[in-house]
Amino acid sequence: MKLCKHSIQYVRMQKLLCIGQTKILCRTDYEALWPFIEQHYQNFVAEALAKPNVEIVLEVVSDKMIPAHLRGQDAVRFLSDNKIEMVRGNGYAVWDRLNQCCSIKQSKADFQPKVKHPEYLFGSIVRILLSYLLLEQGGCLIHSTGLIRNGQGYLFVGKSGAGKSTVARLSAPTAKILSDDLTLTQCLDDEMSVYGTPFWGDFKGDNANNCGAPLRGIYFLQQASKNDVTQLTVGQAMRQLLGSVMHFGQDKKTAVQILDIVKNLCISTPCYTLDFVPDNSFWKLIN
Amino acid sequence: MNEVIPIQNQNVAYTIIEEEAALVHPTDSSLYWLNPVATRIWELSDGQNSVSAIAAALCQEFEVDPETALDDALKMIESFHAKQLIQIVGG
Repeated sequence: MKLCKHSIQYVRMQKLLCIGQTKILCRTDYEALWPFIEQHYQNFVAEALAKPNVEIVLEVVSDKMIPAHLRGQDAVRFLSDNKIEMVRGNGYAVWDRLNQCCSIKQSKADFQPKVKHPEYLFGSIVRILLSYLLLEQGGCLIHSTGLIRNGQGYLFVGKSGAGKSTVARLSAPTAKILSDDLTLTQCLDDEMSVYGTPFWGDFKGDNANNCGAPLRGIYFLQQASKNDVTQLTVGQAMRQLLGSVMHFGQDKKTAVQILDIVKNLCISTPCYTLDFVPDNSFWKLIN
Repeated sequence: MNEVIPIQNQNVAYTIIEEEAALVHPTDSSLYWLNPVATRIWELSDGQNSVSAIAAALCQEFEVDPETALDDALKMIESFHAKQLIQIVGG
């Protein structure tokens, strides 16, 4: 990996994150941001000597340093084959894929006392980077609850309100909850595995760290008056899963990658619809 | 119209599973799921077959009369075209 231009500058704070198998080196010279990053990603810190897949350097700048045409936007776009611009709220980032470095510029306005989550921009950029990097590794982020129970990984997929956080809460006494918002799947050593991420929804529990397990089943959630499980064909499962994969690509290459990854996932992992009542009795059907 | 030749939009990504095609239009990430007949029409929209040739193939491969096959092929190709999944030449 070529050193990105920031690597040779002195930065006071840096941390190597590991989410699944993807390593992200984060650097900033802005002290006010660091406690948020340390708290939010504390369970996803890797050995400092591991080689990162991408290096992020975050600079906090005055508002006028954010180009006027980007302010207030929410967009991901290709500037060239190897450069992607990501715009969120009061900041933007440019990812140089060739040199594996990403420069984020965030407005100081995000660090005024009234702003509750100044780390939002950083988290958004990490999600976007991760979604692209995973595609190259045969993996993806899925809007789902992921958990490990008896050493086996499970995904519970559904739209907002389908019950992902409810499943997490009901399963917590007997399972390690990986996330109730975004879970990572990746094929490693010819086996599909599921990993935790630092991205969470409403579930407030003992947040899992960067652990994973072989994926044994994918369940598409529907709240119901009685529990029922119905196995799906690969095609039926793909149709449901494609809408839950997080991606930002608007090019054919990305679309092909996603189709292949989702197809492989649905071929290698049994998929079901799960009608469930809001107690943990649905585990009897899954077991 | 019967002699126009449909060609798949090269920017559209697709995969076929269990005789059904999933198509993704990259520009807006629209997802289209085709039944087996529509999938076959999509496969035959390779720039080599006119609509009437596609209809003839449907007659041979599915239990359908020529008139229905032609009508289905025309409607599907018009639908593909409206969604910018194919381009049309000739005719």
